[in-house]
Amino acid sequence: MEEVLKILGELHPDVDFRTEKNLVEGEILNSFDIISIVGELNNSFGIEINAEDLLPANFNSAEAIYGLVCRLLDE
Amino acid sequence: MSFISVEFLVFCLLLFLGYFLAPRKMQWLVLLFANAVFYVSGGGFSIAFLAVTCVSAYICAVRVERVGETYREIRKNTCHTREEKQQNKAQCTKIQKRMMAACLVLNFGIWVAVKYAGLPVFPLGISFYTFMAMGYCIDVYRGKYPAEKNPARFALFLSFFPHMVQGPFSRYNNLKETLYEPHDFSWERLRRGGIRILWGIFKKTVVAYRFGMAAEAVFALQKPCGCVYVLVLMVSLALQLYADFSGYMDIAAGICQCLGIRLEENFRQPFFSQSIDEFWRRWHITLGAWFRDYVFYTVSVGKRTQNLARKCREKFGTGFSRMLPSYLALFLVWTATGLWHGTAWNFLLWGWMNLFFIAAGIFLAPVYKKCREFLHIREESRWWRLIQMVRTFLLFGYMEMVSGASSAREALRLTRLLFVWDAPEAMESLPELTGLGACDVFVLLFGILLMAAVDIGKEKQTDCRDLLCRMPTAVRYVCLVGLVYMILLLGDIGSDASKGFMYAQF
Repeated sequence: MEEVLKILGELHPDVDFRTEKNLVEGEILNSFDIISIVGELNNSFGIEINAEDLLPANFNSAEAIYGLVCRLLDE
Repeated sequence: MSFISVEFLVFCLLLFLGYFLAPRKMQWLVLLFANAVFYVSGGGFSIAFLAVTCVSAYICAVRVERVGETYREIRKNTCHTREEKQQNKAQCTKIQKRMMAACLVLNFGIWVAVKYAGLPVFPLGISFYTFMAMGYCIDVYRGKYPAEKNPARFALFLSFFPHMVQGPFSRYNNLKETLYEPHDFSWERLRRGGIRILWGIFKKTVVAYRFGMAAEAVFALQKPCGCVYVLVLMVSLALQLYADFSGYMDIAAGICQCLGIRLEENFRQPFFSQSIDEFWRRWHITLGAWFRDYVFYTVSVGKRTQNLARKCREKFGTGFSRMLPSYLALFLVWTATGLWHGTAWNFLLWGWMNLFFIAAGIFLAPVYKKCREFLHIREESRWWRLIQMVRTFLLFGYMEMVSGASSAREALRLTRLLFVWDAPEAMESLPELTGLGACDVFVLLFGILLMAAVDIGKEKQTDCRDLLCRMPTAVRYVCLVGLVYMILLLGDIGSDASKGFMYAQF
């Protein structure tokens, strides 16, 4: 979880990712941010996030992103 | 059958009657029949093309889903180790990808052949239903929602006539419930839908028509001119396209509202945008969303792009490699968007200009921030926002002018004229050369004010129809009768130009 928060914090230092739950629908993260996050997550965790994983529900909060990482690590 | 014709009015009245008189469970079949009538009236051959797309997309989605279920079942029952599960998943994906590839090649192949190879026929709405059908197949492949098992219901989704001429690119999961569920007749919905239809007809026949006249006259101008003429051309083209395209969307959404169906919105006050990037999230929203979901995301998170970004990280550092997938995907998206509009050089250039302005906006954002801080400009200040809106509007107008020019030389000539001062002479001869009389100018100003008022209301979350409905009955009827009179007296009704919509050609 801390690794995910670090990646997000580097992208938007002004956002409190521990409390924010509406990152995509609240337009805090745009498409470019999401692609940057995907690249960082792929590199850091050795996973492969596909286009079908790019749903708002998977990126709306740090927990949701962490959940996606855990799911892909399990597969 | 044109949306602005007596035939279409009769068609809609019969549809409303049939839809609300039919048993509730049969309402969607009435819609399906209406779609067939609309299609046949647009040329019988169109149905054959639509049928191929409809059948192939239906079969592809159902089969892709079935393969996924079968392999999941096998994985659950017989695969115990991680390697076995991964192998099973890889096999499943391989088969699904083959099916998807066949369906995509067939349908985009037909679309390319019809649109670019100069076939003598152009089936109604092929650009719209092909993209909608392929989006649906990709969504089912990605497991976003289950495939539609009833072929007639799927045919209704794909052939739904309000989104056939100029979009929007409806998504199956957004439209299915509202399309298939039964609806009771409602005077309130009929009234609100009717007002929206009238408003759309007003924009198309009164406003778009006059801006079209002005744009055509300035394009055809042979005598030397300068910046005022080019600015008039840019503004005319931008407002003509907005009034025409959003007018159509109002008519289509109004018809749907009368029936109780919710159609996706395609515009969200685009001229309030402060950058080209924001503009494309407010203009032709469903086309932008299609390219974002099916091209931008697919390319940017694709294996090859991510591998390339990884390699670049070692050589060029994190900052560049982080943005590389987005820029590569953006390049493809805007090349494809340009080509979607046409293969002529000007459409491609139009796409790349959009790409340039969007990429520059993102790339130079820190520089802009520093400049604002240096000049003590507050980002949220009204004047600053207004300046950005005007800049975005003019950039859009300029790109429309380039895409509408007859040749590269002509686009270059018009660009050069932007720097030639001709205000004193131009102001004198402008009315004569644009073909607009004093009455036309007055009508246009009135139309712009009305459109701006409606859009400002929407921007502040106020639907002008609510305000209208809350007014005293007499005032309400004066407003509505006034709108009808303006359409009948000042609108371009019955001419060939009034029958077509600008985006229908794509």
